[in-house]
Amino acid sequence: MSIEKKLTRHLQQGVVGFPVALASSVGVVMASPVILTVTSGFGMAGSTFALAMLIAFIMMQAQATTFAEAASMMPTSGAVYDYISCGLGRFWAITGTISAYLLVHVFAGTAETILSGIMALVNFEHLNTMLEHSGTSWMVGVGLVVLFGVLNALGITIFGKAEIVLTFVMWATLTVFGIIGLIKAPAVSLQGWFGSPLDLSDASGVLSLIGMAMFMFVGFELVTPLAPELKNAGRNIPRAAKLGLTGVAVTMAIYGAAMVHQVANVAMDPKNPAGPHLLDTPMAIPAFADQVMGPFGKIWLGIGLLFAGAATINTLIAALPRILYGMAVDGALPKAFTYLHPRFKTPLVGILVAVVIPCVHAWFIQGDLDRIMPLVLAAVCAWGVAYLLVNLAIVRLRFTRPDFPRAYRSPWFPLPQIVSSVGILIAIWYITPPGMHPRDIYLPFGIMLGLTALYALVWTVFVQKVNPFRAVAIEDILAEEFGKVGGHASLIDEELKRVASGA
Amino acid sequence: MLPLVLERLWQPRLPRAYRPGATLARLAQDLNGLEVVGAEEGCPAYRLPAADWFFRVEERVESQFLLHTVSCCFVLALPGSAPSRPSRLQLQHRGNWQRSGFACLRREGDGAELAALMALLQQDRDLHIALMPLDFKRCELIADEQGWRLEVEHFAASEVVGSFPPFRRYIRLLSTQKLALLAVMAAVRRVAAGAG
Repeated sequence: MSIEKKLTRHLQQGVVGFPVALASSVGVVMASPVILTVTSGFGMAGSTFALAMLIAFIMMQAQATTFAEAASMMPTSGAVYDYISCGLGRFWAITGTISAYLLVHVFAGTAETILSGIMALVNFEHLNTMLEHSGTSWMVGVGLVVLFGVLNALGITIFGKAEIVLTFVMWATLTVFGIIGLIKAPAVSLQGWFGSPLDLSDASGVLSLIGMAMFMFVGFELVTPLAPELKNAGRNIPRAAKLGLTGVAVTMAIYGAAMVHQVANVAMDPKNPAGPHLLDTPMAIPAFADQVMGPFGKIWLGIGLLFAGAATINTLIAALPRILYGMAVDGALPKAFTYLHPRFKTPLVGILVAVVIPCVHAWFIQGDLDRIMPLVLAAVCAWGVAYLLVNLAIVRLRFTRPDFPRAYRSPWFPLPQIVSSVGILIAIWYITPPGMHPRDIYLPFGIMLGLTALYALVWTVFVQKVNPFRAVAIEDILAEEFGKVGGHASLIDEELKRVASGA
Repeated sequence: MLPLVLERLWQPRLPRAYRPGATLARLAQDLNGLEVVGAEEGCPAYRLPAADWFFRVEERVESQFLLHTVSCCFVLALPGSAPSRPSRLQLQHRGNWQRSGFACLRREGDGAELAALMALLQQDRDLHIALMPLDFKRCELIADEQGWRLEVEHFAASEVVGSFPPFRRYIRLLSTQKLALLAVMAAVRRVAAGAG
């Protein structure tokens, strides 16, 4: 059977319905860095940030169509790695995949590590005062990372049964606080629905907020690898992405509007009005909770954020080592990442990397809150690079493989790709919001991306011994995916027969 | 009202992004060369060409917050009569950093009744060779009223699905791992038949 026929048959096996696709397209809205980003964004620019959110929303919609087309052509487990390999070659594939998974962990994982403890503790005044005094409240998050690292290394998993409860509690918390905050009489006199009015006098001001707004939609693209299993993928993927993104945008808009209605964005130091403001800091959280529900609200939000932080950290520590194991199996990383502990059967090298990266990084910057937003924005840059490479790969495949069957075709090609690519480039170019130094974002991101590219080059040229820039044939990727291991097929058959006769 | 809501929330539920059969479909591609001999309740059974025995594969879901993994559990019915009471033997690698052999541990059942089978398993050289390269998370011989069966859960042949950062990744079963797995099944089956 030809590869085209196999692909068609594979794609016709769709069993997943629209509700699952919708659930998969809703990302994480309660991760601490996301909450702080939204709070800061609305505090900093009010309605202008709302406009940036709308622009980011449109960009992500366009990006979703690209992911959907890629998934329909290559319904493979390698996902991003395979899409970029076929479009641009293995060098870009390794760079893009590490950028999407590992670099995001380096930046966003560190932000989560530092913030999870701080954001929960600020709601408990006495405990916070004690730890703040010694400057160690950020160590709570480091402690959580180490704890979950050890638990995962020993093969102990928690949160399994609590997933539904935690998800429900987190969504309910955010929605309840948001709605009550909007219904209650505003504590702050506002010029607009989202705080400060729309300001279009400085275009770069709007553009500099798009990167922050993009961070809000992290997670939506999880719907795209569903393409092969989705019923009527061509219709359901864009629908699920649209509804999922809208759900996140509405929740965050309600929360942000409630926050600016209830908490005055005063300067933290009255003597320095140009310095950090309350909504730029985690201190805005207890102020908001107190204003909405009094002391009980602070305890509720504090416990909710602690659980959310712990759960998110656990997810990072549990997931990353498996991804690294899979990449090592695919030959994109050294074999050391496939090492399993003899008795616990846990990928120790991957767990060690997943623990060490955020802990060392957090220790290196001493849990400095002023460094959190640059870390988040560096993570946005890393995501952006991976998205860009996927866009380029899919555009190139439209020209080099126009005849290849696509169960879903991105509409109005190449408009969505231009919209999302130009948007991402602008977001990265203008990523620095007012009051922040570009060097704090570009330097760590640039160094990490450079090291990643160097690794990809060395690995492809000297270890894989392939032309790093030659695109891999889609048929080769699919043949491997559909079970034919190239020229080794007959050898494997022989081995199987030998085992069979031995049995 | 509240207890009812909490009870509903706490009751075991599959993760929202879990797609029954998706991991088995991926695995089917890794098990090329084997014959599919039917499927019961969505769990396919495979047979080696020319072999007179087959094994079933079941999905095992493990939830974590914003993350779940789906492992494939290989189940092989073993010959021989079942012991007088439910029993469970666990095969586990030895060693702190490197695999230095394997141990057969009794987790359930009558020690005296199981001693002969445990000794045979422990001493079987083919089983030793097959088990050493295998990245199994769990390898157990389980006996109940239906008889003995072997259950192997492998680290690869699994899918990890997360939401933050978002990903869905299947970890494929390499050909060498597939061969080792088949060799383990063949060896355990032979030992179990020998033990009667």
